Amino acid sequence: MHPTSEVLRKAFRDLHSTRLYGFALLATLGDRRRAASLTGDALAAGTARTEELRHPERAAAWLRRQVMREAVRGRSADAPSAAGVDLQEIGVNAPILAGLSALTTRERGALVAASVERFDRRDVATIVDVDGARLDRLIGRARGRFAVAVADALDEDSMREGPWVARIRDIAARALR
Amino acid sequence: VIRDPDLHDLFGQWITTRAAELIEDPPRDLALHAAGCDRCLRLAAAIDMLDGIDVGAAAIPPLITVPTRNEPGTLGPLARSAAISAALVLGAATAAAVGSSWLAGARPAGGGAQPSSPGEGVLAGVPSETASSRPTPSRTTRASQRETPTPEPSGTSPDESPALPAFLPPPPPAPLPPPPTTTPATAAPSITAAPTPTATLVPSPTAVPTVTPDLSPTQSPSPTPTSTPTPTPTPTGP
Repeated sequence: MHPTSEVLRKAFRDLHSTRLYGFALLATLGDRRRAASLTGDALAAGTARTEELRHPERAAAWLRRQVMREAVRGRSADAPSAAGVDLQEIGVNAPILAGLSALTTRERGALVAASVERFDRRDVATIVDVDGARLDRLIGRARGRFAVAVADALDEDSMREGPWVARIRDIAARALR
Repeated sequence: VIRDPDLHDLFGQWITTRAAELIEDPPRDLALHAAGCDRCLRLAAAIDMLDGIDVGAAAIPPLITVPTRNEPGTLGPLARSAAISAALVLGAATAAAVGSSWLAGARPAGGGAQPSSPGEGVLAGVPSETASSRPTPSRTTRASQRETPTPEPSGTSPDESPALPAFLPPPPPAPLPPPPTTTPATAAPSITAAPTPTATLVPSPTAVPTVTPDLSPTQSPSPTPTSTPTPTPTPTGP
């Protein structure tokens, strides 16, 4: 094999592996072994085609699409109790896990792609293999179900003021002045 | 104002559908409602918590960093073993075919009299190695599927034919198998001497059994004439 190709493949793996694994972890609700398997398969498929890559900016979405295809096709994710340290490492606490558990695999993929990784709409469509109005409904449904499940699981300790809460309070304060 | 159920629902819809990006502020009435509604603040906090997830913070298990993929020019171990076994089976089959053709050539016209061995007559009529190797693979697949559990070798055998000479040792050793079945019927003592060693080779797993049964149906005419000559020697003996 040409050395340049090997360098390219290694760079491709290094560039995508960590975040792709994080995506797979969320999609599988922290099933580490399955996430690693999905990530490895997707990376192997991707690195095999690095020389055909014409739009590197789309590679991340393409890889996640591979993960999603297998994740949706495979067995359902393990119970939330199976989630280990890996999910905590990426900032998933108990309420968030409860929210992710309330979603289907495809909804999780859409939510993570759109609202966590903030892919653009075209990439999200690629990842979940849905586009148009169906994609809007899918993302909206995922966010709604996630929000309701997290809201139910939130306690005073785990509730913190994020950008939306701060913004709402700010708008209300300005309106009441 | 704050507890209006419509505003409650509207905020819920807004936070899930319109707040995907932090671009658009919520309408004032919705913001006023949500600021005093614990449930709506929780919904907003839930969406906020998505920002706390850092997908890139996961520690990758070591096993996924090394994707396993075969180089284009290499064979996997399974394919390699299949190719070797295919070549071996082909070699044995060809050796048997050549040997049987030798026997058929050395034997008088009515040598193979039994119905179980008419294949020898077919192989004897096809002298060259390449010609004998062609028919065997397709037929051996059917026969070997019944007898041996692994039909792979015979399936791949046509492709492996160029590699055959390398695995083909001396053709002569195998020729003997067919005669033993016929020898009991033949009374001529001179011929029986040659076939007897073949009786030991008959059990050899794939080569002999596969060849003989397959070819029998095609050359059914040859055995029938041969059966008649056998009685003739017996009267002459005494």
